[in-house]
Amino acid sequence: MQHLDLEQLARLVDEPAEPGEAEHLRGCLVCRRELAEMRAQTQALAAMDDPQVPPSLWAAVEARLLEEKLICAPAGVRVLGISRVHLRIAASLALFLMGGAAGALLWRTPGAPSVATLDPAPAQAPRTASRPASPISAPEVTYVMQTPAPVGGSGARLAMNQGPSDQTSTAHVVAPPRTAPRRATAAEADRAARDLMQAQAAYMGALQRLAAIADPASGNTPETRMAALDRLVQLTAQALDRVPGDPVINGYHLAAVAERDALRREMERDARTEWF
Amino acid sequence: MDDNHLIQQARQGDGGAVRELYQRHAGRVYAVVKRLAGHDDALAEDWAQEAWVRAIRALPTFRGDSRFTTWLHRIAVNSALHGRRSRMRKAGREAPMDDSFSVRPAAERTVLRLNLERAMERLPEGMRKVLVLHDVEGYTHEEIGQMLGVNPGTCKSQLFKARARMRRLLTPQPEEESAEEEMACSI
Repeated sequence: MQHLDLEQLARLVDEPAEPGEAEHLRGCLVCRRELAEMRAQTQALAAMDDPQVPPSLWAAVEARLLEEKLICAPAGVRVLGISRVHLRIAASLALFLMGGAAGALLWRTPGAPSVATLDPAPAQAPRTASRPASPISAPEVTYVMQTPAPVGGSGARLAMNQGPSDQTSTAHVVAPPRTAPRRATAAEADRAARDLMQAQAAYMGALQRLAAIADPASGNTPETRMAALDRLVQLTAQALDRVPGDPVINGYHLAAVAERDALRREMERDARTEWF
Repeated sequence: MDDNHLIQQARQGDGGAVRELYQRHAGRVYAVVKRLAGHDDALAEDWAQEAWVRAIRALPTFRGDSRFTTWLHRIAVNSALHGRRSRMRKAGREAPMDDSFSVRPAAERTVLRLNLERAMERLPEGMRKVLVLHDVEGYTHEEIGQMLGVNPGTCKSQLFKARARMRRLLTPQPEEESAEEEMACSI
């Protein structure tokens, strides 16, 4: 028996069968199954999910729109004339701002409308017996998160035990919601702060290494410099996703994009002139 | 805020409005150019970038006769179809398929969707264009013929070849693709 070929079956996905084809299909389980598979394939194609958009794409689009003056530059951002020195300074500033933004994000957890007040904790609040020496010194403090008051109390209360001292301080912070009291020691806070500083230092070091690799004076090949600039653009784009309105990160990002575009043009020009 | 309002603001150079439009529609734009570009992500990014710049440049000409998404999608398709591949990128287009690609018939339906993208990347460019535009994006043969500058019959023929090739790519086939089909693969 001569089966229908795949192109015939592909046509039958959305076109009627000719009499001979219809007759064959009635008697051939193999071709009917193959046609069903072909239809399933076509339906699956129509139902495919969209691929993920690269995070760096917007930065490239925005840079071109700015270059063509199709959109206005955000306030406080200079698109042109940003030197590499400025890039590096901006990188350092961006790190501090990103640290601040990260802190703000931590405390502004969605669904946490509470405003906590720092109050002295009751005398019986647990205290840490000892804590290791830390480069970031902090008083012996125990923080106690209490659940929100049922009526009239709009937020969790954060109690701070300053030890035997009666010294009281009040400050308003936005605290994440807690369903049960949670206690943390100053040593834990110290460790978290230390980890954060180490992470920031590592991040800064990585950014500086990338900038150094991308520097034309480094003697690196254009491809290597391009790879470093791509990564810089991607990293700053990710930072912008968290703090889109930040002018320093915007400036740094745009400068990195401009640098990358300039290098790309240079590479394309070289490719044209060095065709041999 | 609806698209029309954002478009009005974007026409006046409002970067925030443009960004909002981008966030709403970037997925669809990137999807079509990515599929037309095959596995070349850098090329897809270039085409997507070009599509957005062309769209924002052409915003004053958008009269709202069609939906913004339709209009933008068409620009994205045109950007991809008319985009030029750079010499360096062209060299990397036809990468070999790894061994993990083949699927067993029993598991075929389960993994079909996972492998579709990779199979499409393996199609010759002419077939891929027609398959993406027709089966994925839903354009008619007449529309595709207009975009590609061919008649609808040629477009249909390429589509059937592309579907058949996809079917072979998604199932283990002992025999090689015929030389005749290779010759007919580009429009």
